[in-house]
Amino acid sequence: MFWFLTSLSFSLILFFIGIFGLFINRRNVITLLMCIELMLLAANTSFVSFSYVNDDLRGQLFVFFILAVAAVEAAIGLAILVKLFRDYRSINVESLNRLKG
Amino acid sequence: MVLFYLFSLSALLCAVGVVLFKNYVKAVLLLVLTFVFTSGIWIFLEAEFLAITLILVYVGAVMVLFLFVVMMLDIPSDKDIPYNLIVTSTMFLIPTTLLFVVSDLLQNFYFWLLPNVSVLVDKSSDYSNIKVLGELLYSCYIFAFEIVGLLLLVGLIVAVSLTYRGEQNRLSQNISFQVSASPKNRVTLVD
Repeated sequence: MFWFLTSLSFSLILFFIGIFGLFINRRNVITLLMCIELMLLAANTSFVSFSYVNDDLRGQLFVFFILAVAAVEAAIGLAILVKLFRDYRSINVESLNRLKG
Repeated sequence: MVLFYLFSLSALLCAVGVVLFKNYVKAVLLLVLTFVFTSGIWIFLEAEFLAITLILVYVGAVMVLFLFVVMMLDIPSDKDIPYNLIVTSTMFLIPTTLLFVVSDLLQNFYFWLLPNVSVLVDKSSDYSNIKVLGELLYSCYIFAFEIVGLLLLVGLIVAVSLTYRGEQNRLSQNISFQVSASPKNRVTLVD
């Protein structure tokens, strides 16, 4: 019970570090993917801390699923990055403007 | 105790380094270190299986994948994209104010988040986190488990179909082309 508030505020600060990174590095696909991983890690930590406090294992179970989904999303994001880099030789997000959106 | 604060502070510092470093290999390695420290925090929160899974699966597979991609593509670290100062400082202010507001709310109203149980039951010495998680996963949540397996399969198919370039510098046979050869296409009579 003692660590609940500390870990929840840790999760909060980690999430906001991820958001900062997302705001600053908007052109840079690799740093975007890493900041998404940071935000998912913060959400996972908050799930684990709530599961600890409520003595309920379903929080940890949901972390299991989030982990799998985050792994798949990172893999697909990296596949897109590889394809982007092969075509345009740069990792600037603004190279993806062919749809003119 | 002190170790918990040490782990969380180190994890936050590594996360800040992930965001700020321009050398992508160092940034990915700092992300790995963030995960390692967070795994230590999860052990404090009695989630042993998840802590080990974080190291084995998330760091050991996903971060290694990141490292592979970064090192194979040999992406140059771009130093000459300047950060627009006004935009950056505005974008710093909004999450910072949100952070202060939410932590203030958290510290004053955290009793709403806590359950009514005043004492947490200590677990017996042969309590196994993996065993209980496995019992829950394979009995109540088996459907979600199967869906996640399908999701992993779909992710695999997507990753391969996006990046597979076909045969390059490799001799191979196109069997259907070979079998569909007929004498009309191959032999001509020249007078």
